[in-house]
Amino acid sequence: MPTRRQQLLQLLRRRAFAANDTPLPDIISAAGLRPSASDWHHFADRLLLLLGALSLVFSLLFFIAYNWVELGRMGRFALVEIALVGAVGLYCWQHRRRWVAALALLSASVLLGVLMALFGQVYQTGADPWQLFFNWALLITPWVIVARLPALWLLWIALINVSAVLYYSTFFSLFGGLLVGEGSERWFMFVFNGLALAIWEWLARRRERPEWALRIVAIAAGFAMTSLALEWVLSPASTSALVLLIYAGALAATYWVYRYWQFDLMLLAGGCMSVIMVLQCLLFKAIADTAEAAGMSLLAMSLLGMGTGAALWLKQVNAKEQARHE
Amino acid sequence: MSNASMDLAERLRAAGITVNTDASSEPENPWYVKALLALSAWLASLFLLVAMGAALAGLFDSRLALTICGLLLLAAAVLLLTRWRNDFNDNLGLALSLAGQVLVVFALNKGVDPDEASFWWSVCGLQAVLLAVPNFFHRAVVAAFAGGAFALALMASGWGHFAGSVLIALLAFVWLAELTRLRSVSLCQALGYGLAVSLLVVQYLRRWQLSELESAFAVQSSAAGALAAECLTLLVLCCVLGVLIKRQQFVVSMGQWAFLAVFIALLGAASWQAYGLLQAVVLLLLAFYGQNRLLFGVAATALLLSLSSYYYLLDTTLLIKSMTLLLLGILLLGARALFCYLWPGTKGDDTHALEVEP
Repeated sequence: MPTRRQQLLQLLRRRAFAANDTPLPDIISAAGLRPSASDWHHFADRLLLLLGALSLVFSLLFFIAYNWVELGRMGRFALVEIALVGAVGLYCWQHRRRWVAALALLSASVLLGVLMALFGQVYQTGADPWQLFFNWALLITPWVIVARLPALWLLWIALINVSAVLYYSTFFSLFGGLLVGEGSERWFMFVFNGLALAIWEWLARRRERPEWALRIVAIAAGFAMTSLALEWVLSPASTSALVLLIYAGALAATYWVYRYWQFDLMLLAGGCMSVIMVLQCLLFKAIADTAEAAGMSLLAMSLLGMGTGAALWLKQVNAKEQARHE
Repeated sequence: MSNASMDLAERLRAAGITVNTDASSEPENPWYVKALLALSAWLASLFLLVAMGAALAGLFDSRLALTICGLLLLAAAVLLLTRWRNDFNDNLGLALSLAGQVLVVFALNKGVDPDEASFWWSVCGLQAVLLAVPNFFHRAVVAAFAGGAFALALMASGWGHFAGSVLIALLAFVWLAELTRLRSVSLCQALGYGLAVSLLVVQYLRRWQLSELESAFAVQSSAAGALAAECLTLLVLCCVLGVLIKRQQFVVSMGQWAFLAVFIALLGAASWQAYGLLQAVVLLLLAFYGQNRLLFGVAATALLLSLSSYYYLLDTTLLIKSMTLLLLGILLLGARALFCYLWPGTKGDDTHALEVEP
């Protein structure tokens, strides 16, 4: 939903006030763009409260950091566990107030990770880093399901991604040798994030769709797939040509879903950017050994052409979609 | 036209304003599409520069060749961006302009030492001329470069402390003028966003690279200069507050004026230590007044960077930092309590008056 400012700017761009003697400030005033006295009051109140609260929180953090060594083992555990219990208690007490409850559960999830890291540090368990992130994700799963908060789901997905990357960096394979070789962790990221996106989109189709969170997951999956495609372009011997087939399939799926099923212009733009990068790389490889000046000019023109073509297509698609809604 | 715009159009018609919504036109490209275009233009300009360097052997060795090629590219860019406008030409024009500017700056570099103030004033002058090209994105990019060049020119002239203050003064002027005349909306927005980016860069340089820049330009900073610059920023803040109160026809009592005066004085004192704090507050006020989310993001970034870098660079123990933050938190919450006492405010109050009812 565009803001009032965006709506007004849209009307200005379309010269909707061209045949008008009314001065622009009066139009702005009639549009109600300027904040009222109560808006200013609310703004100043919230700003002072937020900055004051942040100052106190950071004061506490610095105090704890200063006394960390003197606190001792029990002191450190007590501090983190009291904060964790406090966050869970706040959730139970304020569970009817959506944002307070969500923030409390998010804090509890983060504090659980801090507690696990502290446990590993104090007792020197010898666990691999990937185990910390994986177990962290496992333990917060019930909270994530209960809270139904997009930020928590993102945290959970991020933890699984990080644990996979760390596992790969230790064992150079995933799932006990099932995925071996260069790029395995990116395959995992593509498949896992793609699946997470598909399930989330399906479940969100009848509810309020958390656009920003879904875009982050889509970008993670798209980034992994694009890097695999670029790797095939730059060194085809190191990867299978199947990459190209899967890449094309992923693009087709992205187009179909975000053009016709759940319109999202940003993800379509992301797909365009991915295609431009891969094609530009292909072109660069093809002309790398030829005349430098002509080759660079060709690269420049192709990049401009593809960028402009993508922008034109996106503009057309956006216009059609807006016309469909009117 | 979208339903939201139609609702606003109806609201304006009800207020007696003529709104012509008959002409159909395409929706504006969202920011990520503009970013896609901008990125392709930037990269294309790099490829063009490499192509020119490869094609014209010795281009980068000859000042005359650099100047001629640079000016030709700029002329071509101006033509594309003014006469032959379409999406491809806008993109191509931006790429040619960027490449042309780089060549002209290289040419300048051959004649004038970049450690001299005249070099940066010349670059600033070039950007100022290019601001005349009536393309929004080109203007925003050029404004960002102009702001940066202006700051470096001031630094090289020994007036580096005033860079941030003058930039925030320009930003205040531009954003307050944004929605005053139909013709100037696009120009003000382009300048406003470009200068806001350059302000963030200047703040970074002032905090983290000041000693390196001073030794490069062989100048020395003075406490008096820094104090004068902070006073200028304080003056800008006061002027912005005054304009906002006047425009929105707020009525402010003596007690409320006293509160504002003390709060601004304390902010000024704090900004002496945490560089950029006052500038961030000015941006926050402008962003809220214009209901501009993007500018609000820039202001919030500036505020957080100012405070976090201050505490990071503070050469003292964590305990002292903790105590100062505690004091700051108490002061801010106390200020909030006093603010709520002096301005009770009521929910849904749409009147433009802040006067406290006796």
